[in-house]
Amino acid sequence: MLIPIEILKKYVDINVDLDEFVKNFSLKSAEVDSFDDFVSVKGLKVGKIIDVKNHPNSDHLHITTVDLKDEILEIVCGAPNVLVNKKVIVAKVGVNLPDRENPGKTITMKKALIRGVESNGMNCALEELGIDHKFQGYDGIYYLNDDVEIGIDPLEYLHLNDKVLEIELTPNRNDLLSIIGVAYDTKAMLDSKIHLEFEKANEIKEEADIKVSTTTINCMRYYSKVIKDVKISESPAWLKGALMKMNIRPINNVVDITNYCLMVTGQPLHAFDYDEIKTKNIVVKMAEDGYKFTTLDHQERILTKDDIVITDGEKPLCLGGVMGGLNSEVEPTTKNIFLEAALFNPKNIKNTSKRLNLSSESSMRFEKGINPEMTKYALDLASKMLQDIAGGKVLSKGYYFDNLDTKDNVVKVKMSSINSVLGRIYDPKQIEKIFDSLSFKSTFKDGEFTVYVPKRRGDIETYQDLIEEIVRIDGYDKLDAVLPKSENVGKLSPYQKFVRNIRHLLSYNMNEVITYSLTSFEKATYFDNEEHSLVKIMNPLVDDRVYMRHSSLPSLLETIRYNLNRKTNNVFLYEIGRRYEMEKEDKILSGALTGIISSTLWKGEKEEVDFFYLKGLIENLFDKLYIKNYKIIKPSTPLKGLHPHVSASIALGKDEVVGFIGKLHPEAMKYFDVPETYVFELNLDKLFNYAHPIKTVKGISKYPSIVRDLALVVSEDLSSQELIDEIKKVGKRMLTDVKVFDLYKGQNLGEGKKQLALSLTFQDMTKTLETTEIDALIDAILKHLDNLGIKIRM
Amino acid sequence: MELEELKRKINEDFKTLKLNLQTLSELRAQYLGKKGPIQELLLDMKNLPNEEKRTLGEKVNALKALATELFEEKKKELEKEEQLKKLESEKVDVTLPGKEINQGSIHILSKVIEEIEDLFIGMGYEVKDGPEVEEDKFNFQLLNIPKDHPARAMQDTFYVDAVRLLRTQTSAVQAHTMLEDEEKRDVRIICPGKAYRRDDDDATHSHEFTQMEGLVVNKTVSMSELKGTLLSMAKALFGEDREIRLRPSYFPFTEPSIEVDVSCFKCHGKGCALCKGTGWIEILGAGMVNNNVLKMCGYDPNIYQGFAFGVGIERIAMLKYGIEDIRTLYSNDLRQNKQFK
Repeated sequence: MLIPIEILKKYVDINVDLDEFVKNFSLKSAEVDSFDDFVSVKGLKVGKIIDVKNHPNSDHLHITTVDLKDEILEIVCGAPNVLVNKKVIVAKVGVNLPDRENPGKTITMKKALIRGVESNGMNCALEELGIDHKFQGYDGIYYLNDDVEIGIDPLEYLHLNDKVLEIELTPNRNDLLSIIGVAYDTKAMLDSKIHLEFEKANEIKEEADIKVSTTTINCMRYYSKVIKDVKISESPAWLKGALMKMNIRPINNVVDITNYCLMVTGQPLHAFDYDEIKTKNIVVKMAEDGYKFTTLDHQERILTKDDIVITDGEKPLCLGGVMGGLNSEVEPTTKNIFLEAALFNPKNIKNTSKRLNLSSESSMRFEKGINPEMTKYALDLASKMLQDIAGGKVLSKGYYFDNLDTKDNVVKVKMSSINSVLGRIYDPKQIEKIFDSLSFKSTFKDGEFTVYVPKRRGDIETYQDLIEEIVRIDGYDKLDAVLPKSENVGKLSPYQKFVRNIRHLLSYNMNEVITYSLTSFEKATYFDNEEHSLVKIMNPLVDDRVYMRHSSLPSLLETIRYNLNRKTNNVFLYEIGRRYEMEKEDKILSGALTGIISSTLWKGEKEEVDFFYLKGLIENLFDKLYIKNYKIIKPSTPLKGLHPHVSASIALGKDEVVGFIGKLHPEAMKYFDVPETYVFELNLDKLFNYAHPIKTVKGISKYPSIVRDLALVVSEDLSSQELIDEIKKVGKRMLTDVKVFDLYKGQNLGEGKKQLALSLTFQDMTKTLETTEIDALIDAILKHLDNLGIKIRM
Repeated sequence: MELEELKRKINEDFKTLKLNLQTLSELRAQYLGKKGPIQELLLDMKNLPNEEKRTLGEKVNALKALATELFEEKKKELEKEEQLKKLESEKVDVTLPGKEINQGSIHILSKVIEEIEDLFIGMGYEVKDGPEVEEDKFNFQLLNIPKDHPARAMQDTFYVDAVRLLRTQTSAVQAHTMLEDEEKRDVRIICPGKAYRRDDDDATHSHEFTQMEGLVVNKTVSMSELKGTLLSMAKALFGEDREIRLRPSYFPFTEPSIEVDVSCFKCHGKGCALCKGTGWIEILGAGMVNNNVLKMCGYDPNIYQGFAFGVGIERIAMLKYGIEDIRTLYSNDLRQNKQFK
């Protein structure tokens, strides 16, 4: 909403300086988007072209001689419409004009030689002053009316030397969609005076022969006036200026007056050519399905039974509240006007406007609701202006019907509620004064206000709404800032701590990322081994963001590619995100690692990420999270997207799979365009169930431990884990640790064989172990292994 | 041999011979060993009378003690020299680079969330989360945004089906928390999490973003307490000397509703590019919980009142750390990510 200060001041006293007013407005009323001069150019003059000569060295330039009253200047002019005796806006040398190529910057007019002829300024188009070209309506220099005095400031004459306040409205404050609405709020916040009264038109006692009726309840009110003998012409400068400042293109005096009254009152008006209403019988009704109607913009519209139409009893003349018809348009030849001010059901207007994709200043206001106090007011104001500006004769009899309830809304609010909600003790007198300033009538009895809220403030329905009015007009700065008392102990839940802990542990040498959840189907399911009920968006914005992801790995791999492109070659990412299905969302930890994790290059040392680095990392993480007895084993079926022989499932408890680790499959490397990369994924919701922080310290044996090494030749297919499990079966309690310290494969071992060197640690909590005991255990182990076909290598 | 003579001889050997620990030990054997001069004196002793035996014995012991002491001293000296040499040989250039371990980092949005969480946990809040694929009921209806409400136009929504959508605000968690508490206890929660809007991505808009909702419901909580809470947050995030101001606004789930500005931490209120010359920067929206919301969630508005606020985590992070494009928070260029430890 654009509010020219000059227009606002007609309706309300602004008793503080403008900057103070604007600051108040933003703190008490609505968000201020901007507050600027409509035209920022200073030092312009009105000039009269007293001579036009052709430029000797050009076929399109002219040399104009311009009289500025105090001086006469020669100005070279390139405009196609240059004419002698016309009055123009002159920017003399030294004037700063807006630079249209660099918004916010200016260009200073300089004396210039244009093809050998000196030019001392510029005859301006409105566009050159920073005004939208649409307002001028024609190309070339802008011509002022002939009656303007030369030498004066043209902006003053055009009423464009004004400041405009642009405000952004929230959906509840439709009352601010008019100058008068803004005037009410201004009055309240400045505690000043509002001026709504004006002298009405001198109505002539002649009765027009026209009837008005309705057949639908969707038109609640319809007032009209007939104005005869209007002379359609250009509007006076002040009116054109007012409209331009509110971003409306001046057209002719009748249209401009209806638009102006709309902006001032918020009540849309429609002017029909009275003589085109042949039947003299206005009937408001619902259209019929499939009816064709041509609107003012020359578009043929197909109507439905939900559209409100104004008809002459036979055919539609106007799409009620949305747009007039071509058949009753006010044209330059129009003499008599039938002026309408009506109220329509917002729902119908909204539907019609939406269906026909036809939105206007009028329809937008009808949709949001209009101040019913303004129906007659707007009609009277427009009639008066049609009389004064267009020379019309206003007929005394208005034709109308009115089925609207205009009683004030009664809302009650207790003093105790005000004080309790705001946390501040108010004096009832203070509250009464605030209601007064808002022009709300109120009474106070037994600690409770009864407030009569005018219809223009349809947003006020409850006592909470009234409290908002009180606190905003009184000022939010009056509220103290105190902290609520707390009897709660704030805390993170154990699970929230668990997740945070993971984030911080991994952040030691890996980089946390956050990526988008919306992705394509192909990426959402790239690592899925089976089908899931994915979440699909009905109304996606772009093709590659249609599904909620089922794994974060694709995003992590894309992030690796993104960083490789930026010459970051070693990338170790993790993300704590979600995996989405129609029926559930799981919290997932994912990681993707590629490159050198640590190095001391001058020593020739570097550690590249590989499967066992990643496995160690996960094992350390589990250890830090108090997760024991996990199994990292060959998956029962190959994991999609991973190297079939360098990947593993991670299982806990009764073989519950909680995640996987592995090397990326070459095809996945190709698909995501990444080098050798290792990935992992863990379901944190499941993992958390296995995290059992220690409750008591485990005793440390006082007796020495004994270590024995074994070199065993086994089948290449036997995993070290299986071997160790077999050894542990025999070693039992005394065998406290088994470590693999060497792996050897060689021809001398025979086809399909490998040698694993193990180091076994024995210890007892209660005594020093005897060599004979250990020997016996080792014998038992070897015998067990021998039964399984595993030989010791001597 | 006399004591003085022995001492002179040993010292002379120490001087003339270039000794190391090995040769010193050999020399020691020469003097103190079985064939050494001191031992030889003892051999002579057999033939002497008892009286002289004792005198000589004392002398030999004295000589032995002297030689032992001299050799021990020399040994210590040599050991020290030897250690210095060894240390010298182990010399390194301490300015050579240390082991380069990939510098890990926490995402800036996590940093900001944890910072705010910690602040509110300190004020007695609990942290709650809810589903991102949410029901219309929790995201809109229970928050006083029925179908066709104009506020729905304020938030373009991704729909999954007629009932489900991607939550447009973490306020949805409010409704869950209140509705699902059978005992209708006092509420004091913050709800950080991802939310979604059907916006084209640009420097200031992201179709996915992070929001933190706060909600307090009890019998007395007031707007002054909301102001105090938000002031504490503004100070914690942007500096102790910050001020806030409240401006009227509109949200369907709060009444009164406010926008909250923080005094510009860059220019301290004088006006700069960051605050667009106003001295103030908008940081969040808040208000007193609308009675309709309390009622629909089963809290009697005649007894309970509440306040709520919603902070855009990206906006806070961008303001606080001078990040100009919201998309960089999701593209994860590690040269940016690694700046946050």
